[in-house]
Parts: sequence; structure tokens; C-alpha cells
Amino acid sequence: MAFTDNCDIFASFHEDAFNAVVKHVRQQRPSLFNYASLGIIANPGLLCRQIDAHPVVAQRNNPLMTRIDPLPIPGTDFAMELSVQVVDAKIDFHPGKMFTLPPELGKLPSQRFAIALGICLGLGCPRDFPLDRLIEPPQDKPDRNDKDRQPVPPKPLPVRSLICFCLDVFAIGGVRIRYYNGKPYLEPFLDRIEIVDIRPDELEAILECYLELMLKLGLIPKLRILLERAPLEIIKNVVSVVVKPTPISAAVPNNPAIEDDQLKAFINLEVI
Amino acid sequence: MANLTIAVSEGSFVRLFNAIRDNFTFAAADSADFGPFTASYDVAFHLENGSVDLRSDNTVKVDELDIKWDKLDLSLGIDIPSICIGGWCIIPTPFGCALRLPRICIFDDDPDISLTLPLGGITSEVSLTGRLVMRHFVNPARPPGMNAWDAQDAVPSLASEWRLFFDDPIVDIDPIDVADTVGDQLEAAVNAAVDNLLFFLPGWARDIINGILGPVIDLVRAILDIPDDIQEWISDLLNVSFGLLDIIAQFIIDYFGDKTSLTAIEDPYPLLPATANPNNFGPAMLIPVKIPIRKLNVFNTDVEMVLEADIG
Repeated sequence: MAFTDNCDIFASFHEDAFNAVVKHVRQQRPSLFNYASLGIIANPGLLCRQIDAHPVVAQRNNPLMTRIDPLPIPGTDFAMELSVQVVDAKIDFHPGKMFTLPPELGKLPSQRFAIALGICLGLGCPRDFPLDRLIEPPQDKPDRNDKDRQPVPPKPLPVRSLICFCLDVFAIGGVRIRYYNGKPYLEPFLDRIEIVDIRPDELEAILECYLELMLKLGLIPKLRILLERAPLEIIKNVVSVVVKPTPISAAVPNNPAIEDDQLKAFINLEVI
Repeated sequence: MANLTIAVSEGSFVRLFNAIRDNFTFAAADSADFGPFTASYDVAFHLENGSVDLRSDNTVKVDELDIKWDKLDLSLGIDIPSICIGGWCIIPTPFGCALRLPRICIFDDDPDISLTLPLGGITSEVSLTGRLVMRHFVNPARPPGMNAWDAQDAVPSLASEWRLFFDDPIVDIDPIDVADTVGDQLEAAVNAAVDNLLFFLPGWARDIINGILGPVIDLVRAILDIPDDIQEWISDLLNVSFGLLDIIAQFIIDYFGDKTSLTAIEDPYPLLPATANPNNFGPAMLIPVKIPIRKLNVFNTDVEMVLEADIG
């Protein structure tokens, strides 16, 4: 059977290639995987895991991290330096033999991929800092203009090191085709996420929810791939082509398909 | 097993090839001096029709591609030996000639006759057979040690590429076969040119010159050393003397072969384009994410072209 029996262009991507691509993305665009408040960005030696970036990142003065706000301390004007790092990322396409999923996720369903992530969180706890210096003395008179005070950004507390903990996170997801501005994109999506060995369960649920939002709203939208770029920029300077996904049919029941350790896309081509 | 597999059906390949074919144009002009005459050509053609076949022996055959000659002008400059008539004495006297006919000399210029034969509107055929190959191209102008991002940013780009070629094609072009009416065309053009040259002469002078020259076309044939078959002579002039056939063959080889790739993939491939810096410090844009492509291989069966690659 030929690859193109039911389409004009067939493209398949093995999970080994995908993992190699993830490694290149982590090295060349580390700010997609590393988030930190300004004090840590200014002092990357504080990070829970040092960043293995491609030399061109420094040559082009690209950031190692994406800036996030420090963690506010409620009832104060202070905040704690914070970092979130995706330190490891592996993908395993169905049938899923590369790693074992936690029991909560069960067996990898067909047409799905599993992701194993190592996520490290770091919090700047100023344990050896004399906090007394920061506490204002009681005021003689109440502040009458309290209502008119403008909110001020919380001041990060100074730190010499972060308290770090790392989590093993597993997720199940798939890839779909979505249209944006009339153009088809290959877009990953998440079904479920599971953090291993966190107690109590509610804390696990909170962290899972937080990480899921981070991945769904932050990372995944940046990993969309324009379909026409995925297979080839075909004869880009000679002819114009329009690339469309092959419609679902009995012959092509899934498009894209995740099977045989590969992501497969079936594409139709229109030469203009 | 390859990391990445891309297959293009024969039908799509044919459509892409047809689009490339339809964008093909050729134009050339040249001239040469052949002693008693000069000749020049001014030609232009495009391609039409033909069929493309992916074959099971990993070759691709392009068959009976029509070369449509939009312009095939052959210009000839002919130098006819100078002829003088008249000057004869019609009233001789013992003291000399009382009255002479005027002396008229013609064909003093070089060339005396310039004519253009518009031979366009004909069709030739070309067939090609070759093998698709991927070749890695490193721009020779790229300085050693230049990284892929600097190479991409250079104007013009110095980025490396994987290029798809129709390798070492065997090109079979039919000789330019001018129409069998070319002899009549040439005769009419020569007669018109001579009439044009002699228009100022009185009728008696024209009759005398024609009597001396005989049919002008025979004179021109003699000058041009044209054998009986004018059609064959013009075809040889274009195909052999000018080597136009070789020029066209080389151009087609260059177009489909070594110099023009059918497609090119930048290596490393920019998977994620440059994007805005999420921070309010540092550069405005982040570098594109580039993925090195290794072991790129292309082959075809009789139904599809397959490209396999590994990610480095």
C-alpha cells in the first residue's frame, strides 16, 4: 500500500523526531520552558535547574526565561521570588512504550499521545533575612487617605537561594487540525494531567489545575504548526499551492492520526 | 525507520510539474558571419503538453514535452556581387561618343539584401529521463563558522538548503524542423528585397539586370551555398551552425537539473518562526527555532515520490 493512496501528500513524524525537536526548542527558545520573577532573571544561578541553552540565545541576547510576577504575600506589600521550569519533556505516541503512565491515567487510548514532564518550582524564602527591618512601626494616627492610595506592585523579598521541588507530571493529549485566519494548523491539545505522589489530594488537584492552565493557555498555543509548513514549502518560489487536510472518510478515519509511534497527517494539494 | 516521511502522489507530482512547465520561458538571440552572408536568430519559446511518469526503477520520465516556438526569426544578410550596366555608347562619332547610356551600378553595399524569415509557430518535442536526488547545498559565500541564524539574516540569504534535483537528465530534443514552405518564403523575401533595391531603375534596366542575374533566388542560393533542399539548409543553420539545439538542451537541463532545484528546504529548518519577546527587556523578537535535518533521501516508486529524513 502506498502512503498516498488516499491523499495527495502524506507526512509522518516519529516520536523520536518529536523528542529531538522538543530538545531543540528547549535549547533555542528556553523562555518557553522557564518562567521566573525579575530577581531570578537577574540572577539565573538561583534557578532550581540550570538552563542548557544554545549559544545563539546568548549571542542574540534572547531571554532564558519569561518574566512572571513574584508570588504576592497577602496582607503585605511584599512578594516572594518565584520560578517555574519545565526541565524535561518527552512524548510517546500511541501505542505508548517509552514510559509507564501512572495508574490514574490508565492505558493510553488510541489516537492519543502521552507526555512526561519534569517540572520544578522554586520559591525565594528569605529565611536568613532580618524580616524585622521590613515591618513598619505602628502609626500614631490612622491613615485618613487610605481609600485614595494607589495600589503599588509588591516588593520582592531578597533571597540568596530558592526552595525547590520538582514534580513528575504526566499528561494525555492529542493533535487536531484547527483553522485560524482561514489556514489549517496542527494544534496539540490536552485531555488529562496527573502529578505523581502529591498529598493531600486537594493540593494535587490545585497543582494539576494550575499546570494544566499553564500548558493549555501558555505553552500549547505556541506549538501550533501551520500545516503547509509541516510537510514542505513546496516549490515555494515557482508555483503557489494551497494545502488542505484530507477530509475524514472510511479510508482516512483520523486526520491527523496518532498511531504506530507516529503522528501522521494526510493532506490534499491544490496548485494555483 | 526514518524520523520523518513525506510522500507526494504521482498525481500531485504531475500537477506540480505542470505548474513548473507553465512557468518556463526561453529567449535567445545571436548572430554569426559565414563569409558571403551573415545570419542571426532571435528566438523564444514556451513549453506545453507532455506527460510525466514516476517509474518503478526510481526514475522519472517526462515525455513528448512540446517546445512551442513563439518566435523563431532567422535573419540573413546577403552580399551580392556588384553589377554595373549601361555606359554604352549609342551615338558614336569619329570624334568620340556623342551619347552614352547612363551607367548604373547596383549591389554595392554589404550586405545588399537583409531579410528576416519569421519561422515561428512551429512545435518541437523534448523528452527527459532522470532520477530525483536531494543534495545539501552550502552557500560558498558563507563565511566559515557563521551560524544558521546569521546565515538566514544575511541579504541575500546564506542559509544552507536541501535541494531536490532532477539529476543528470537524458535530454532528447527533436531538431528544429522548419516548415516545408520555407523555400517559398525565402524566394518571396529575396524577390521583394531585390525589387526594393531596383525600384528606382527604369524598366529596361531592370530587365537587363534580371537577364544578367537570371532568377534572383538562384543567385542567392549560390551565394548561400544552399543545396536543393532549402528547408534542410535552414534547419542545419539553426541546429548545427548556431548550435541552437545544444543551447536549448543545456537550458532545459539547467532548468530541470543541476542549476535549478525543483524545491528547496532550508537546513536547519525554521520550525517556529521568529516571535515577539514576551519580556519588556531584551530584543523585540526571539530567534526562530531551527531543526537540523539529516540523511535526507528521496526516491520514487511508480505511484509516489517519497522523501525520508532524520532530525539531527
